[in-house]
Amino acid sequence: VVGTPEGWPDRPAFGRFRMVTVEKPDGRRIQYYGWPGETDGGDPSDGDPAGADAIPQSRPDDGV
Amino acid sequence: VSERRWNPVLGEWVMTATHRQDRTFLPPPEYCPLCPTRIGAPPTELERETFDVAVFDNRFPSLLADPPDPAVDGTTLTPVQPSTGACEVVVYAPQHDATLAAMSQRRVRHLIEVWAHRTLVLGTRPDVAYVFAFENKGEAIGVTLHHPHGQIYAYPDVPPIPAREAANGRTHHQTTGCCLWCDLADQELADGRRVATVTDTWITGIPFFARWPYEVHLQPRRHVGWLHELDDAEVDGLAHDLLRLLRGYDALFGFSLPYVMAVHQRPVDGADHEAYHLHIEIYPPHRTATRLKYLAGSETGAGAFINDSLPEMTAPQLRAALPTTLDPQA
Repeated sequence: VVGTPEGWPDRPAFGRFRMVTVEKPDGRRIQYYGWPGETDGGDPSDGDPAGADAIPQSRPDDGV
Repeated sequence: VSERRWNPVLGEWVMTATHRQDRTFLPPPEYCPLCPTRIGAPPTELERETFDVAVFDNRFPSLLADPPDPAVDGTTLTPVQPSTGACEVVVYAPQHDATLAAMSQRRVRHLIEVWAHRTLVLGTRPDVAYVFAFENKGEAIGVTLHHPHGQIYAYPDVPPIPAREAANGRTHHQTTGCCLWCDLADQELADGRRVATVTDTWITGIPFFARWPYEVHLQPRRHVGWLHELDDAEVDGLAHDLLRLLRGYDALFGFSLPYVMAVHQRPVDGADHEAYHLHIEIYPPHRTATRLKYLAGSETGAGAFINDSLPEMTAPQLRAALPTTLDPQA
């Protein structure tokens, strides 16, 4: 996880997400945000079809 | 070519970004660059089977952390600067045909969290003076990709509209000792005709001085300047009221209403902006179901907006279109 400002986890209304940063070959960055325990189970109505996106799992090529 | 050219007549910067002429324009769904990469298909911007919310650096940015040198030399009268800053794309969901109005309240809350987090990430950069989250929705607005998404621009200075807002808010505070936006909210609550929704945490409505027939402003009842200052109830309240408004917009004329949504937060240029009050402005271009309001001579040439309707007349129509209850999962 990169780029998280100091103090963010102390903000009670936020900080529930996990974030994985992936750098593309051209140097651009992608941040995948996920909410453990909130998006589990899948909910087709909100674009979470399989629940697989609950936590942005790191992959070997993520570099994290 | 990307650079910033100073207009000394209007006192504002103009960004050039000639590479944006080549950006992807209304591709068919199978070539959408914001969809998850499909097995056997060419990679998209998001090389995962699925995701929740994703944010990435725009492939065709107007502002860059490490911009190229300007293509022309400036003068003392018309200086030129590199286009320093950032342009990020916020993809709301993996589903290509979704809209924010059709998403769950939970997902809208997640989006608000992402806006807040990106504001902090970008706002702590020394080269950034203003972080602007926004969404352009619908071809009537000029979107080039239909996949539900918004954008975040991080500017090296405070752009004209938030700068004017900050200056007027500061003057009002110096003159009256009060917050301009809090005073406007009190006035709207006392009048009541233009209010769309009001709760303990947020007030929404068509402003007295609306430029667009169905323009709506949302602001927290409490005086805060940034999204990340909201408390738990205020974030939930915003997710609820924003979703209810967007569903009301879609019910207003019976189709998914295009709009521009602008999140106006306090500048991050280091100056004193304590008087500035967080708010969100939404401008649908439709003045009727079949007619759009265009920015024509008075608006474009003189900067003087003409609203073809009265907010006191459009607000009741909007209130009637709002869902009475909000099924957060529907």
